[in-house]
Amino acid sequence: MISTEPAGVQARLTRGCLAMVRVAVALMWIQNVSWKVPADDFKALRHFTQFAVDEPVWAPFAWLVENLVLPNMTLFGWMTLLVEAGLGAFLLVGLATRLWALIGIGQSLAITLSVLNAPHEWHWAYYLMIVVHLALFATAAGRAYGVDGVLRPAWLASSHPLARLMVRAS
Amino acid sequence: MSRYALDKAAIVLGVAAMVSALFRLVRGEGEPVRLVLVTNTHLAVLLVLGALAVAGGILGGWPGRALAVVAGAGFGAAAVIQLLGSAGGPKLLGGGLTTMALFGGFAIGLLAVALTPRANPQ
Repeated sequence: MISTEPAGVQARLTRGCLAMVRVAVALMWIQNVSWKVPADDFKALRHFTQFAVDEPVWAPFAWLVENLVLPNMTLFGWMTLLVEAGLGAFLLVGLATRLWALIGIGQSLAITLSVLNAPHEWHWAYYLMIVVHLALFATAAGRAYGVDGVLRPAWLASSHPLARLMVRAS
Repeated sequence: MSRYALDKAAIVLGVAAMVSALFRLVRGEGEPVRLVLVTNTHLAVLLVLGALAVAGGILGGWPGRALAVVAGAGFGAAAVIQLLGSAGGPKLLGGGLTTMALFGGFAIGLLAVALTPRANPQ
């Protein structure tokens, strides 16, 4: 089908939709840091992490959680909190979006391997979390109404190592 | 990249911060749309620092850039205070991890656009 819409309108619509997806995914992570509370030694997170052992999805991951993660839950709780807060913060403004999309895929995989077999879970929620980050990575979504889109020309024009790094991360 | 694009980005981030204050209207505990827990103190932080970022973007030049840096640093400080409050420290802003992530986002965004060297005008 040949579109009769002006190219600019199509482009703005596509970019607007991409930005909405990015911000929605950011808000998902932001809302879900609320129960990773350091003050109670990550009690709720420990409960869900335990499912990786009690209802294992993949034996090597269950072994890792039982022998490495759960005995050091305070450390892994802080890592989880900071990674998920970072996902929310960076995806919200669209900075280093491709890098954070990859981190989001990794974190979504870890969550999937922990709770996929837990009672009352909807398995597609976890598959969708993985693929939506894949879409953010594939489309470099931070370039659509994100900080990446504003700063990328400066990074491309610069030979500074940090700027070169940001070109790859965006 | 033009000066205008960076100043406009500061304005957009400031407006976004002020718009996110609307989460204050969602009050029900456990409401699915309560994505960010915003108290009256958080509301003040979002409105004041958001307005500062908007003013910085409108003003432009080095004074505007300084205002955007102050707004970004303010959001960064607020995020750290929220984190410390949630980790058992004093809850100076009321605590809350969702606002920690929200403030953190505006901090990195504003600092990135304000501290990136602008191209010299031709």
